[in-house]
Amino acid sequence: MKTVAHVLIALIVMGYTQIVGAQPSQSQTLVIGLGGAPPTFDPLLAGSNSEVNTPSINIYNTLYQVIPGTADVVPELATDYSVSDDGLVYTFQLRDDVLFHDGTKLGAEDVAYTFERMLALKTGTYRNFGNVARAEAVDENTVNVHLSAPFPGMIPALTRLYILNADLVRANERDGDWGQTWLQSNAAGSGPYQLTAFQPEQQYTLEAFADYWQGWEEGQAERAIFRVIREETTRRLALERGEVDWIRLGSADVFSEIQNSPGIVAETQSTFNQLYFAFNTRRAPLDDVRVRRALSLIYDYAGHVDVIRQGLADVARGPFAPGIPYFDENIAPSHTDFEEARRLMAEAGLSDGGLTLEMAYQGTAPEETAAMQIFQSAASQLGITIRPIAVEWSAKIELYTNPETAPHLGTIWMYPSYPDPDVFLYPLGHSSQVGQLNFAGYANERFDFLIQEGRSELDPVRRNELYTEAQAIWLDDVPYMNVVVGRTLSAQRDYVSGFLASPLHSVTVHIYPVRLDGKP
Amino acid sequence: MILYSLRRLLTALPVLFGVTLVTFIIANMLPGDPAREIAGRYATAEQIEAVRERYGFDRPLIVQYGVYLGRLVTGDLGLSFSTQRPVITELLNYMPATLELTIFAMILTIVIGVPLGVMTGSMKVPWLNSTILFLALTGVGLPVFWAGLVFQYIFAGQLGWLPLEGRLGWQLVPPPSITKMYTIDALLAGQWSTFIDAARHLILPGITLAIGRIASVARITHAAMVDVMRLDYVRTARAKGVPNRIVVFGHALRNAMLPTLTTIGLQVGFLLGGTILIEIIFSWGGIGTYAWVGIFMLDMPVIMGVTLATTLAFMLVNLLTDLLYGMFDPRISYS
Repeated sequence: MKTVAHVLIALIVMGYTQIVGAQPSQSQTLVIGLGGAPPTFDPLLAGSNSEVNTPSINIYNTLYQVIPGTADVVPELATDYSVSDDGLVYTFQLRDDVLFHDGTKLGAEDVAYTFERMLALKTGTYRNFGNVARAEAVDENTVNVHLSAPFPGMIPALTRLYILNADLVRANERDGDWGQTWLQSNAAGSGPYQLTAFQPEQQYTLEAFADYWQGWEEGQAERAIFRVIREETTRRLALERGEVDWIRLGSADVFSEIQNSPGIVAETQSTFNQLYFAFNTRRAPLDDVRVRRALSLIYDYAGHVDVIRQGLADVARGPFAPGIPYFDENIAPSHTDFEEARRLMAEAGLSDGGLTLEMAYQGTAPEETAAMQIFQSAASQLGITIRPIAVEWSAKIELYTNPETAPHLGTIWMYPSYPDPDVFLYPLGHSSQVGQLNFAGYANERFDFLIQEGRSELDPVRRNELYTEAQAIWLDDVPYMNVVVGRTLSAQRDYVSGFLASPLHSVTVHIYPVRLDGKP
Repeated sequence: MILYSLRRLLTALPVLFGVTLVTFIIANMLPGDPAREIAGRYATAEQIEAVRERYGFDRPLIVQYGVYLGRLVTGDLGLSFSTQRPVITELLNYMPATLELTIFAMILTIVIGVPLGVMTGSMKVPWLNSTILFLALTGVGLPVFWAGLVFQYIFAGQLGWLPLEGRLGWQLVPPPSITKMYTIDALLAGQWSTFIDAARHLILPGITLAIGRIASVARITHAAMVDVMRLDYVRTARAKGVPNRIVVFGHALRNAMLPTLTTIGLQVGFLLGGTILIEIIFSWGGIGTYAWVGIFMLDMPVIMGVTLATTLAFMLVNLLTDLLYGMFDPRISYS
């Protein structure tokens, strides 16, 4: 028995020695705790899945990208672009000093192939490029992109189109799958980091690409490990124990608590993500604009920000967040006015209330549950009963496929993938989108005309006019109640700096700007 | 015995067919449209239609089911909608993690639960019996997610004795993949440090998982031992002066083991079905996590695949339990 115990102790000691010995450059390794795993590393899916956008932004480059921490779009792989007079052809000039991770040079063929692949697969980022017809390489460093209609959002939309190494992907295509199978667990990029290991649902490892064209500075992470820790409490403990250097947080409560932990810095960054309550304009009594206005005036917006978000959000101002181009600065934050609400209900002949309204919300999202409760309590003061329907997203969107039978109210978030009013107004408000994301069943001819024009108008002055009027109509018709604009929450060890989330990549972790100074 | 096993496996086929049918019906009754889920939250109508066509969702359900069965016969469980990888490959990747955790939890269960049951069932020390049985009852009622979080807080957060989550420290590379169970693969490769690290990662989730099982196994063994200890042959053995140790372990336990064996078999079956909460809390990345993600993504092939795999595992464990009966009770014969 004693011998067994001795052997065990020896093994444990050996084990520890080897663990310590097996830590290459720990001080230059950044360990990130994420709440989810990417289902694939195919960067085309980055357009619709932030878990995929995180590895993509680190492994790949785009023609244009935002300056980290801002929504300002600047050239990345492109050096310049021009647009034909009719707005239907974009010509991009590319840098000629960019190498893919396999050492081959990035050129116009690669950009054309990336577009061609997206148009064939019609998935992910494709949702932003419905107007793109084809792309062709003009010469080694020039690409033409042809559109079927002018697209004013073209340049910012490019911030999620990650350029693939065409030869490498082609060599790994199987049965005409455009390399989808291969890209599930492989990468073909030119970005600062290369994918070196992947253990599904556990972790993936990125290592610095020495020949990265933007170069390297002292303090940048040589290696980044992305650990999947789905449970927020566990992520928090992992950070407090120093097992991870940076974590994403979802709960404002945890954020407030962790702020006081020694050696930890909690950070919040603004986003363009907005929460709405959709009012079903096709079902009585919400088909009456006075009722919709009244309901939008009873919600405790400030309470939402203070209590649910612990002050870490902003009350929404109109149909999209400030910071999106053409936002009308004259729009005030949504506010509460019970007196006016009562007057409007009386005018609509509903002063006694006695109504029951169905409200769909995501039951597994604490914020939406609390928002529903705030609304429920406010509505009861007007004699209105709110019947909650807790559903997950896929079930909720199915409820709204038929606006005539859809719930009276429902929560909906918009996470824009590029900063343009069209990203909000078209899917939420255009009548062609009823049965899709237009949960309000909203149809207004003038509004339709304005946003249809805005989609293809290249003149910024005219666009401003169109969107200013559209915002005014939205506020007047109240198809949606504009609730809050969220902020992302994160926490990190105090030796980590430079995490600058852009509102355009709001739940994405961009490693290149990060510095690790003094990590033990 | 071999013939019996083959017969049992053959009779499993209609059950598996029934399971595919029921799962297919239930999965299709889940609210939500898989085409929308695959296309992404803000996909355009055109994208959703493209997905519907590509995946064959536009065909009648009966045709979709027929296509699925046709593939299943050849051992093809289809491709996961969200990852595009073959479900069979993913199951083989995720299953060993759950298997490793289950085996560890069951070892703990048997090593602790059975002796506890034997002790309380055969000894006449009322206060000790009451205490142990009280603890066993508490163990059965303990919610695993609560226990998991508390253990993490105490043993990883406060005391720092054990790793918090995951199957391996981030600084270690998994051992060469043979069984995909890190402890075993590390031993086979002679990587002691990896073995120790993987074993340490097993302790907290393993104990959390085992607590409830230990409690039920101890209760069942206790009840069976109490019954058996009252039987005439035990009394006869004692009257003949056979030492107590031999009476308990040689005579009584053997007969008392049958209900215990059934309980253990059932527990293993349930655990292999995925230990979703434990896997999420401890970031284990096994079949439970796979099922959880699949359900949220309305990933039909994954839901079907996991259900089939766990049904099969359950049936195999049941068969094994039946065969073990013969070892403990010679009156049971399968020849």
